[in-house]
Amino acid sequence: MSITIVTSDNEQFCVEKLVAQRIALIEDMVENAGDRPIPLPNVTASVLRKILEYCEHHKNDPLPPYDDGSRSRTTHISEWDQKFITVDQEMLFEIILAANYLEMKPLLYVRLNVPRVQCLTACNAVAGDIGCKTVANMIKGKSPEEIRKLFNIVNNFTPEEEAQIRKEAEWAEDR
Amino acid sequence: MGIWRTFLSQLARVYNALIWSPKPLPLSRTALMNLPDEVLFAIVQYLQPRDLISLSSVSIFQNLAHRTLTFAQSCRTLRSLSESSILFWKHAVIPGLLPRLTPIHDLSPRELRLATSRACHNRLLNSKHAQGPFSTRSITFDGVIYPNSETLIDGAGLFICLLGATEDTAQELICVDVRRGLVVGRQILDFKLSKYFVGAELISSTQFRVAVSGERLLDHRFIETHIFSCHIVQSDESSAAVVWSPSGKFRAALGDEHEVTVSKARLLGNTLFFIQQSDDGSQNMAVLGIPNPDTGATDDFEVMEKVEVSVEIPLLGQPQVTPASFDQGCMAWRRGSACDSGMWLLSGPRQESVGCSEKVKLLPDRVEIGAIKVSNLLERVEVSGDHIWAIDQETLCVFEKQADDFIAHRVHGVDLGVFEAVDVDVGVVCIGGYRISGSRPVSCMDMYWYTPYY
Repeated sequence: MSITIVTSDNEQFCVEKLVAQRIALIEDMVENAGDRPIPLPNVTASVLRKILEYCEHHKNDPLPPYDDGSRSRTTHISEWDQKFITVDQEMLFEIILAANYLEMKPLLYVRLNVPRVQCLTACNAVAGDIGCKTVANMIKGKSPEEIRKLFNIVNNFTPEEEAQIRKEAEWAEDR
Repeated sequence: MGIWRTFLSQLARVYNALIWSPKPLPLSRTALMNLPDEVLFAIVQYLQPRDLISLSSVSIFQNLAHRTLTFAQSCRTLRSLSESSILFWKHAVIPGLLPRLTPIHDLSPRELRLATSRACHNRLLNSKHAQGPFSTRSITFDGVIYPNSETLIDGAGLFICLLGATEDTAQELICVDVRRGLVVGRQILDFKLSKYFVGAELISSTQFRVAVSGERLLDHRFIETHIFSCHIVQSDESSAAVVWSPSGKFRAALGDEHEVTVSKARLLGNTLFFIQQSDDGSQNMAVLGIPNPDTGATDDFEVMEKVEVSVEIPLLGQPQVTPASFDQGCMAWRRGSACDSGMWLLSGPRQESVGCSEKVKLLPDRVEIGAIKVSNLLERVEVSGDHIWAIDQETLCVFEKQADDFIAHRVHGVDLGVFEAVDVDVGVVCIGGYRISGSRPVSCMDMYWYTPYY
C-alpha cells in the first residue's frame, strides 16, 4: 500500500506506507486523509527526497525508546548515516528543519520523556540526533571566529563586549 | 492613463524610499542562527562547555527578531547570571544536564546548582589539569590561614576561597584555582567587618565578592552573595543560626526566639540543618524548613512550616553537621570524642519540600570509623554522592556506600601539618592548613581527586 505526498513545490511522491509511517506527522495525517494526497507545504521535493531515502534505509529499525535524560550524549554517527548526512550546509539545515516539522523520530528527532501529545503541543518536537550531532561536530573545538566563518555569521558584538566575553571565558581555558 | 499609472507608481516608490526605511530582507531560514530554539537546544546538548562558550560568543542571538528567543534568553540569562557568579551559573552549565522542557531562566537555583556542579565535575575530570582518581596535588603559598568561623572554604570545586587571619591579625581571603593549583586572588578584609564570614564567591578569575556580617544579629553588613547562606551569630547570652537570602535580605533566625542555642548549622537549599544545645548541655539535631520564596512566603520566621527535632543523641565535643548530596537528602555528622568518633547518616527531608514533612530517622546503623583505625580525633565528615569522606589530622578515609553498608574504599595519609579546613565538592577534596617550611609556617592546600559518583 502506498500514499501520495505533495511537496511545497508541487512535486508528488508515491511512498510505501511502511516508509511514510517513519514520519510521525504523516503517520497522523494518513488516517484522516484517506486516499487524498498529503500536502507538506513546508518541505521541498529535494529535501523530502533525502528524508525518504533515510526512511527507506531505516524502515525496519525499531523506534527509539523515550529519552529519560540518562542517554549518553555521544556524537557518534553510524557509517551509513554519516554518508547520508554528508551534504552541503544549506541542505543540512533544510533537513534539520524538515525533520523538526515532520517530527521524525529516529532520524532527527530526540524523543522526550513526555507523552507525545504533550510533546507536540508543548515543545513542538525537537530536531536532534544525526542532524544536530553533525552541526555539533562542526562546532566542536572551534573558536568563535572559526564558527562565524563556518556558518557565515556576522559578529554583532562591540569590541568592548567581545573583550568582556573573552575575559569572562578565560577561566574555562586549559592553560 | 498608462502614463499616469507609471508616474504615480514612480512617485510612490520615491516616497517610500524617502519616508520609510527599507524593510529588512527576510533572513535565510537555512542558517545556524535561524534554527528554531528547540533545535539549537538539541545541538548544544552535544557540546562541551568550552564549545558552548564559543557558540555563545559568536553573536548576539537575541537580535533575531523573528524568533521566540528562548535560546537567546537562556544565553542571556546565563550571561547575566554569570556576572554574579562564575562558580555556579556560568558557562559550565550544560543544557543536557538540565530538564529539557524548561528554559534555563525558569530553573530553580537547586537545579542549576546541581547541573553546574555536575558540569564542573565533568569538566574537572576532562581537564588536562585533572589528576587521575585518588591522585594528589599540593600547593603552598604565603599567608598563614587560620580558621575564622563557620565557612572556612567556599567554592564549587574549580575555585576555592579560604578565609583566615594573618600574623598581624588582619583577615585575608585567598582564592585558589584548584585545577591550576594557583592562588588567583587575595584580599585583606577589615577585621571588624569580617568577624562573621558568610561566604565568598568568584566573579571572575581574579575577582571575588565577600559576604560578611557584623557582630549583632541584625546589625549586619552584607556585601553580596547569590545563594542562601547561613551562619552562626553569637551574643553573650545565646547564639542563633541566621539565614540570608540571595538578595541579602535577612531571612530567618533560630535561637533567640525559640530559646535554644545553636552550635552548628548548615543550609541545604531551603532546609536548615542545625545542632541545638539545651540548658542541660545535651545536644540534638533538628531540621527546619525555610519557606520557599517562589511560593510567595514571607521572610518571617513564624511562617516556617515545621520544626522537627530529630534524634536526641548526646553529642560530645564539637559536633558537625554535614548535609549530604542534593539527591539523597540525608546528612551525616560526627561525634567529636577522640575515643568515640563515629558518624551517622540521617534521612532528611528532600530539598524540594518546603517544610520538614518527613520525620528524621537514623539510617543506617552507626558506622565505626575506628574499624579502619582512624585513631585520632575525627575532624570532619563530608558526604558527596555515595562517598563519605572522614578526615582526621593524619588520615583521609573514604567510604563507599554499597546497599546499606559502607566499605572503606581508600585511605590516604595526610601530611598537612596543621589541618584547618576541608571542602569536598565536584570531584576533588581540598584540605587547607599550614605546615612549617624551614623556620616559618606557610599555608598549604592539598587536593585529592576521587572517582566520579555519576
